[in-house]
Amino acid sequence: MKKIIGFCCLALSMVSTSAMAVELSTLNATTFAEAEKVSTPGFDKKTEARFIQYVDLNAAKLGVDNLSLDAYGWGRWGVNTGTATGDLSSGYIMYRTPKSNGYVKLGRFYDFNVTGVNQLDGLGLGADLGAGLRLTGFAGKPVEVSELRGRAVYGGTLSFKVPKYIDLGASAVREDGLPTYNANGSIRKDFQELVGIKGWASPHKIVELSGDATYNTVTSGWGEQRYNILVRTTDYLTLNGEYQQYRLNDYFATSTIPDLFSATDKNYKLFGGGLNFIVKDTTISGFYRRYRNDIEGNTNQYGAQVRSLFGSTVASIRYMRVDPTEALNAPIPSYHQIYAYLTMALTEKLHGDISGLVDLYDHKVDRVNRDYAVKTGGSLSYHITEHFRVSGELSYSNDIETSDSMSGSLWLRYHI
Amino acid sequence: MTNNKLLLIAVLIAAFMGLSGCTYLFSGEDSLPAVHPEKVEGKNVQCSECHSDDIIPSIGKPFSTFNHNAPFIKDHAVFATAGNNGQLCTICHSTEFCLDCHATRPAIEPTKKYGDNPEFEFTHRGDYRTRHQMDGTINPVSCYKCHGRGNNEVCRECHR
Repeated sequence: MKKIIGFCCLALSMVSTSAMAVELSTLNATTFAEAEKVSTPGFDKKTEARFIQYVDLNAAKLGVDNLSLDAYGWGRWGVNTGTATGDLSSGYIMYRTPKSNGYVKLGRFYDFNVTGVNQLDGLGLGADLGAGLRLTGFAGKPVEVSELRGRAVYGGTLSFKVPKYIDLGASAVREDGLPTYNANGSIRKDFQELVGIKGWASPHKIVELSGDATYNTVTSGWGEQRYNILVRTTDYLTLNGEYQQYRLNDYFATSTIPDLFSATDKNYKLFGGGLNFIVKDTTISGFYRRYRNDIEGNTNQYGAQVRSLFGSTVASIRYMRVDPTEALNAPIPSYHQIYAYLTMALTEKLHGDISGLVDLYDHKVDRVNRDYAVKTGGSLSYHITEHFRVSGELSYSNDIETSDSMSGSLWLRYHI
Repeated sequence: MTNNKLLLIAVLIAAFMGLSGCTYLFSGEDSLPAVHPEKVEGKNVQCSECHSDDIIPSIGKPFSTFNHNAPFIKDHAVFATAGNNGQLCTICHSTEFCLDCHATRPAIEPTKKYGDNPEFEFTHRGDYRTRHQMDGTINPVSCYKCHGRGNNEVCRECHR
């Protein structure tokens, strides 16, 4: 962390002292303050307050075109506890080539590839090669926040595309020092190694097929497979179908909380489908999913949402149902959920919204004699300038854990 | 960091510089712009409204593939990790946008950070402390997408 901050400061000072041109492309600064009064049955009422400051900046043209600095982090102060914490989530210098989408970046960054998300202090690079190929790679020290952390992480992706029709790729990632677990919780290897493949194809302009799969080379099994089909019948109606399959012995073998996400010799599958229909200023969407869980049993989940735009007013209501059909062990809870909101421009600079969410559980939840939860609130936002906005929210919740909770929040958002 | 890892990094840099020297190996197409030329605002952005249904240069997919409707939002990972699409995302989205959900150590849950925007329909809205027991029973991998290899502190508060 200190090295990264020092590196970024050094880079910035080099830029400023040499009087080179720096163009600030993006600056998002959010100050968040929250006070919450909580009433929990059996405990004293308590009030909690916290302040959080987020900063996200992107400075382009660090002396030369295409050289940029990107940084994002936050600091938090708990008023009650008096504790201060913070995190530099991302901070790196990147050079982008004018041709071939090439880049080299150095510092702390996230790599998103088909095998998962990796945060590291290190080096990343990539470029489009000829013949539809693209190669990317990264290497460095992991920054995962866990008692377990690896010594080094490295990997890369090679992809190939035929424009308009096919995009295929394969990724490989290895993290040394982070264990892979057996089903009984013992350590199988002191490293993790995953290989992923991905694909996208459009055999016809209205049809898109996509999917990805991850293979755990340590456990020699496909941990995750996901396949989607999307049919865009018109600009307004989209249909989709999905199938997912997980082998938990291979999928959870890479967990850093093995006692919570246990590698077991069981499978988990889901299939389903949905639609998205746009008619004038109204979007209607719906979905159905069928979960097949070898450990707990099977469940249906379905829902629908209607979202309408009336000038500068947006109104939306969503309903969702979770409905287990077969429990292998203890009964699986089921519930209905309704979520609705209304946002509107009260004046050119003053915007407001109200929202409400209700969970209706089919059975009273353990410990408390309750079968519902409610959260409702409203906020006002005032645009002081084009780039500066202040917002306030009041919310009330009455749920299973806390019989009553009132909270007030304040945001100062600066964005260029 | 061990010598082997340093050697690997050096090899990667050398390989990249070597490839750079052989410019004929590269596609030579213009790179994607760093930022979208015009400001794009609002939810459910439909890229094909302005771009018709052309193929995006160096991406190889039609603009309509990236229309932000429900299926795309649900499966955005497929597109964010395929080909150049990570770079395509950053034309409109800042680092903060991705890390609001994917950071291994967030300051607070996204639901609270964007409490003044009910249009963000995050998972943790409402009574999620109760609901996550149900959702985790039904779909054991749903939590693992964000927790389990990082962002573990909140799990450890109860699951010791």
